[in-house]
Amino acid sequence: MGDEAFHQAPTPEARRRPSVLIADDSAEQRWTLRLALSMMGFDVREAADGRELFWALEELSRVGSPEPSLVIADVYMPSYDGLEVLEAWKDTMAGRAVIFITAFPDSVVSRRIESLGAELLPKPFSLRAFSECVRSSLRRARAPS
Amino acid sequence: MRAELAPARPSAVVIERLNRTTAVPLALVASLLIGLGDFATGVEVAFTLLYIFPIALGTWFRGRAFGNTLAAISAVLSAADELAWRVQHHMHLHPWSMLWNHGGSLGIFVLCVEVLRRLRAYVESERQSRQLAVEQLRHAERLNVIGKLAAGIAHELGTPLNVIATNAELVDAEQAPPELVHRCCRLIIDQSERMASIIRQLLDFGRRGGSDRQTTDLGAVIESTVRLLEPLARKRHVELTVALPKEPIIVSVNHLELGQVLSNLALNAVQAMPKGGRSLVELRRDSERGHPVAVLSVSDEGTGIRPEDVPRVFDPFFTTKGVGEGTGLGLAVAYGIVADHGGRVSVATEWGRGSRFDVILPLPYKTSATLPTV
Repeated sequence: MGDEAFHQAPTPEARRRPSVLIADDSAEQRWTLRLALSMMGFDVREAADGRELFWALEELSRVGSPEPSLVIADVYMPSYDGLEVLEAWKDTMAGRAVIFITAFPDSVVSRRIESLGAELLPKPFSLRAFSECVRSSLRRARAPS
Repeated sequence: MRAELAPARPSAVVIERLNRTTAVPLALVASLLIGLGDFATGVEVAFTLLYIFPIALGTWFRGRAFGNTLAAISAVLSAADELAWRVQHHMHLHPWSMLWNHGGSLGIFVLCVEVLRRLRAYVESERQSRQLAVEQLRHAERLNVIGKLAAGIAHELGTPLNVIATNAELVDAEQAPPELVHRCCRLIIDQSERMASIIRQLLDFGRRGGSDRQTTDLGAVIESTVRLLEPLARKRHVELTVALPKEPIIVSVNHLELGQVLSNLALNAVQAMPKGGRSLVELRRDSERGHPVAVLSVSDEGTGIRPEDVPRVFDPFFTTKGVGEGTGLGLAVAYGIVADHGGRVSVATEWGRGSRFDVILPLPYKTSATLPTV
């Protein structure tokens, strides 16, 4: 699946749109989420594993831009898992929404996700559940607690 | 480093040393007790001990009632013995003294029966609780394996299923741009195929029965399997070399399953060398704790296995390969098949230098070098 089309945005005409960072080790999963998110009107950036996610967040902490306002991360990924990375950049993530997707949310993982103030979306999910989760977590992140 | 999957047994050397250190004090204590017993009771305790031995054995193996019967018979016998001796030597009969002596003996015998009975009960309860603990441990281990398997299945199937569902929904709701619909469908097909292949592998994992065993020349199995793998190895610039012993090694195995073991190991070897290299498949005779074994080693010059990953390499769904390259079932399947054949798999690896997997299969003591014509 090293196809070009998997790595470029399905809709290129993007201007000042809210952006999302997707971290997942499956290229097919990233491509699908990218498609779904761009249909919902988001700009999408990708990270292919924990290491890429780490450096993306590191850059974010230096630049200090408000976007991406949402990070969607797989829990289990090669090199570092999504939870580890997002726990490490907890301060940078203040005011941003985080959604974790995983196929087997056990109690330890759920508790860690909860303590990060993030959402958990268990796989497999429907498109409706996904967009619902994206909207609600963005709403929650914007509303001052 | 080296990871052996056979449970470690307490060394015979340790037991021998323990025996040597306990034997002398035990003998001293026994002599002292006999001397004290003689002194205190006036009965020949050493002689009495001769009776105690069968009484102890009887109690241990047949229980308390049997032991008490033996004790009574022994007391009567020893009394009769003294009586006969006194009559023979025309000595005075001292009924009270004899009653004291042999009554004392009987007391010691009955005491011995009671001690042995309690000891036996204690050992039995220890053994039972140990067995229970082992049983519970096995159960926990089984649950652990099932848990891991379930988590692995959820992870392996969850992602493609999710991709399929989302793409199908996007197409169905006509949300996907028309030029991408075809790609969405392609993705659905690819991911379905991936799921089907995972399910097939899972079935392979569960379907091992070892039912179809035949007398097989291991060398022939190796050669035919390696021939199948050669095109793939060449594509990856890996040179597969086979080294077989002069005399064929003939064992009763399921040759299809053993071929699968070898192909799983060799495939790992090839995939561990992304820049190419050499991999050696070697078969040799060896002996392990005095038993003849056949050792099939597959070694590579690849990346090796991280020390922290070594204990997990045979776990189902454990993989360090990228997504889509491995499901983490190959080594688990190989390990299961070899275990079914009464053997084991061991791994020796050095991070950055390469790995060697040894499949160790027990051989019958007399191996005939001739293969019956089929």
